[in-house]
Amino acid sequence: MDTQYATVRPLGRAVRVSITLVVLALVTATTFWGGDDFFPFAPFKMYSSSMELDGWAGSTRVEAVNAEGERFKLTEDATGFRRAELEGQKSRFIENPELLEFVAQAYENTNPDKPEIVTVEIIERRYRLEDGHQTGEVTEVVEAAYTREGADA
Amino acid sequence: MTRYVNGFFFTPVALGRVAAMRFLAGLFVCIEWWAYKPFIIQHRYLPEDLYQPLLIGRILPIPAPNYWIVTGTLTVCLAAAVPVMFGYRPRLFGWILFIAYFEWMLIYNSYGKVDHASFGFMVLLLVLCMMPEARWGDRTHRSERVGWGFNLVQIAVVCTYFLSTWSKFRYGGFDWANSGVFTWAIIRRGTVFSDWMLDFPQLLTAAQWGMVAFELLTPLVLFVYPWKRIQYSIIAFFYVFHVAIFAALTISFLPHLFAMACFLPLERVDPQGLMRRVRAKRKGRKDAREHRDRGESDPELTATG
Repeated sequence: MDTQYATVRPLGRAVRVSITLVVLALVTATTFWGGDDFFPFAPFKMYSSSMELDGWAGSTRVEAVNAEGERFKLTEDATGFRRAELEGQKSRFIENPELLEFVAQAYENTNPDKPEIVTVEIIERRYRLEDGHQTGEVTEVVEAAYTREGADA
Repeated sequence: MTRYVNGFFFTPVALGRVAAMRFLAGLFVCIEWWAYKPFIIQHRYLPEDLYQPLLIGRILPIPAPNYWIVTGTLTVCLAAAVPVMFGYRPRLFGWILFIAYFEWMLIYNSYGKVDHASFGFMVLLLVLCMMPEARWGDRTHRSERVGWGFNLVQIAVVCTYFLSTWSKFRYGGFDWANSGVFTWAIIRRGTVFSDWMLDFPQLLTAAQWGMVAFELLTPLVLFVYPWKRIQYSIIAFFYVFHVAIFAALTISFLPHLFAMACFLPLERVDPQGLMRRVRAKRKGRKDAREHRDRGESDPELTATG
């Protein structure tokens, strides 16, 4: 069988090339102005921040204490709330630690059979870098903490 | 020159590739929710107060996700993905899939972190809605419309690399490549394949420069379109790059990898024809030869647009 071609007329070509150029323009524009809010035309900023070669490299986690006094890490699996999402909203939590109540709720909705949470903490582990090398110096900072009223953890 | 520009946007692509890409797109939707991004479905348990709607979620009357919205969106995605995969009413179900998947992406990205691996894939779902019905292995029918659609996906895929370097310059400064960003990344999510690199920061700096160079050069893959072998080799290199990134940081960019498959001559894959050949071979019949001989040379390899 011979190859059969479906062609596009000149007007159709003009329209299609315009669509391509508009998509390209939008995604390019938000790379330089605006931000994630313009999703799906958001800047592709995966790992785009710079890290000082001399300074602290931080790694955030969330820990919880439950009604039985057990301390454990609140992972993505346990809450459905990702570390990156927590970091994205971290300034909110630091400003108003009571919002961590909602992270506790997320955990309890996900795990209705487990003991309730009493305390939630955002902890950052900071690794000291010098000239890009880890010096072995590590500190941990509790950046935000929330304990439910009436509970003593 | 005009010929080159015309070919850039409108090189005819065989319809067999549409069938293959529909299968892959549907397949990814079926895999993603449990194997790749299981937290999206878990967002059904998040209290509304953690929801941070994006611009589009504030403009359009899209309610804050809750248990039923999240579960329902996934159900519609899966119910539409299956007919799309197998080419049953692919345009109708394609539109349903595109709209439901877009809502799925809003549920994904509206909690304080926006991921950027899905741009090409969303463009793919959109252009697949507009392409004609197709069957696997069809290399007889070629369409400029289809060529344009896949070209748009390819541009989106390349933007994901190329523009990400400009984001690095914007957010990290022109010094990004000299910074400790890979060290930080490996501390956060290193593996046995990458942890040892922490002892060699110069190596990581070199890798950062390599990354910038690589990403800035990616548009070449679009411009070499008349030379298919070169283009396929570059795409193969992209896939290898992602395997390496996955080994080092367990970041896979899976939807992007599915979208990128539209660079490849998937119209050569013909499961039914393959089955026929295998069956015929087993019987040892002579008529098997007719199928086997078909399509030895690929017109696209010699076409220059």
